[in-house]
Amino acid sequence: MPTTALDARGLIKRYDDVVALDAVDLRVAAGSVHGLLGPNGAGKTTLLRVLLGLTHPDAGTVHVFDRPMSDSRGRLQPDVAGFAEAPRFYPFLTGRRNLELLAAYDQDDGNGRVEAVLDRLGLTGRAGSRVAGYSLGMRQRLGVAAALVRRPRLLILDEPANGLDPAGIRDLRELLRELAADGGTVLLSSHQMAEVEALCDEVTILGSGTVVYDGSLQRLRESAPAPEYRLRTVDDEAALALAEDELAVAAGDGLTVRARAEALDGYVAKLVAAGIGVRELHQSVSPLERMFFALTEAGGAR
Amino acid sequence: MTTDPRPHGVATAYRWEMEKLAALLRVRLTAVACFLAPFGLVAALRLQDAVPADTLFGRWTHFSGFATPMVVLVFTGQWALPLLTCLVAGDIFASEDRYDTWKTILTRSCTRLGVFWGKAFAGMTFAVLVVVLLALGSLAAGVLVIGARPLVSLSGTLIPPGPAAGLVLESWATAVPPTLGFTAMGLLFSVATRNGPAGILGPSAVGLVMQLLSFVNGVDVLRHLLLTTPYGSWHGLMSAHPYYAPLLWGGLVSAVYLAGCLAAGYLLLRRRSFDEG
Amino acid sequence: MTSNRTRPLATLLTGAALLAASAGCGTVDITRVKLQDDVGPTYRNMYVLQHRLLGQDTDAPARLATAACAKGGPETPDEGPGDDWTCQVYWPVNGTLQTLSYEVQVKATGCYTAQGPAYNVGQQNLHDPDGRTVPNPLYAFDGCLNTG
Repeated sequence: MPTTALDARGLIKRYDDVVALDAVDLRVAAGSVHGLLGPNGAGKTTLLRVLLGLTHPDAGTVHVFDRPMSDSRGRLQPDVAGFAEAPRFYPFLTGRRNLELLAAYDQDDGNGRVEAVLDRLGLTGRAGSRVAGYSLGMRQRLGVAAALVRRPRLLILDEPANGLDPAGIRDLRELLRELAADGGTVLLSSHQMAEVEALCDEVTILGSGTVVYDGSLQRLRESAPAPEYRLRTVDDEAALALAEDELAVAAGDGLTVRARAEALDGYVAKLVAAGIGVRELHQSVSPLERMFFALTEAGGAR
Repeated sequence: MTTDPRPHGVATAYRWEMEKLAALLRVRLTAVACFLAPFGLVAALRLQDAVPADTLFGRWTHFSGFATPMVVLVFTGQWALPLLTCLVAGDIFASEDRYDTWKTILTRSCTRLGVFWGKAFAGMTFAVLVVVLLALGSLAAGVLVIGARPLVSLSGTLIPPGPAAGLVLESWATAVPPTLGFTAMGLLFSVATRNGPAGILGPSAVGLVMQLLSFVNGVDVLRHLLLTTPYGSWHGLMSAHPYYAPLLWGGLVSAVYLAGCLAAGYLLLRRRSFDEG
Repeated sequence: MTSNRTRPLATLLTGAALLAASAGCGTVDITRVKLQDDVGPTYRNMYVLQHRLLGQDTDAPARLATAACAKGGPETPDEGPGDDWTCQVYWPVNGTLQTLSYEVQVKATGCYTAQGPAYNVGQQNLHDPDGRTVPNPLYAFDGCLNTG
């Protein structure tokens, strides 16, 4: 069994003057949940389209489990499934009929499999209704179901949590964790660090068509700057005066504090000692998010 | 290079295209209308004394029910059949753009060739269905409402009811090749424009231009190369001394349009990069 | 993008145009001979039909009608579609040769409508022995030429 599920090298895609992908490399280890992060417009979707064989790159290669991503007839390898941007279906067919169609297009009778994934995604109750009446979240779940019908070893999902309610997000995370535990590989694209943080060990961050970070979340976390906190006190002006080394700055009707845990503890203790009551204190931007912004904004994106 | 044992999935794509078509109200209504509209026409003809004398067989519409399907063939052959067949063919690729479902089906295991032929065959099936329904509907309407009296041929001879029914159906069968040609043109427009209305109306516009060209004097050769001309190739069947040269030539011309449009359509789809949507 | 998509279409149309041009200087579909060879026998058949509709016996099937057609004035070539064709139909009846002048409109499709002289062929509609109104086959009739 190959240890690399997906190996993309030197991908270049230009649209007229715009370079959507500028020599992008992406390696996803088998059995992992790999995050693909980037602000909107960074090239995530273009990359996923190339990985799914929909867009022809101007240069570069993609291998899946050590084989070229598409076969001699331009077909996606049978052990890859997923979607780029919102999954789409025939609105005039029922959810079940859509899945049966796709199972047939996989040259697979899909019998039993369709019902199993409908059940797994909690769609059995509405499977007999036309997709036209589905909510965004239901279509999203049907998209994951459609990918699972193919029994992929590599699952490529673009913002799968879009439109899902908190319970739906929780169920999806649980599902993806189970897939990974069973040896499956997931490439999960998102523009939210929190989403990726909850599931992934490894991330690739895209900014303006280039890879700005590739590696473990742990390493990213370690190199991250201090987190940002939002602080409101009885007397913000006095609190600001107590802050050393530009630890805190005024921000609207409160203060923004950038500090690691020990420094923050010391500052709060000083405030309390000075008789300045703390009304509110919470982390507003996580260190990883600060890192993400720092990495991707440098490229001028967002 | 090893040959790929997995099929292209033409049969699968065809079967599901047919299922998708059957689920569309527009398609069902067109099919029903093709069968029932001739009854409306006959009823309207029956209610008045005037006959559509400027159409072949028009002056015999009150006399023989077999004239009805021939009048409907003349009426629909030139402009309605290209439009009717393109209601499906002109939209069958563009609908994937409209629903944004190319990415859904092209990330499965059917090849683009399989998807293309599945859609092409589905479009052609609908084309044949439209011709069959119009033929049977107008024949039934004529025979039931006007009566099964002998038909006056284009040479002035009387054709008894049995042979007349056979000749009517044969005449309608000659409309199949050019209709398939227009179907392929609709498929090509659908792939090329990615726009349903353009795919549906484009071939009809081409058909109209072809009809105008056919009225230009002194260019008989051009007339023989137009896809609208084979719609008249049944004339030879309705003569006292049948002739088949226009039929054979019309079949050849239709086949050239069919093959050319299909090849161009497939090449466009094969090369297409799905960058958006 | 657009040019890439429309190029095959343009190629196809250019090819068709070239084919049409290269095939040029072909034959003429509608000629005087073709028309008169069709109008004569068709007149005869329509005459027979008229008698059958009226329930009358006739020896017409044994007779032969001939036609002489011309288009427009003397300078106009006698070929091609147009509504300025005239055909003289010569019809042997009762030992004499009756001449009927038909105005013929020929369409580009090769199909024509021949309009008869009302004083010779009668009104547009006839009444058959059962009292039903039927079209008079000789008043006006259609035919098609082999243009293949």
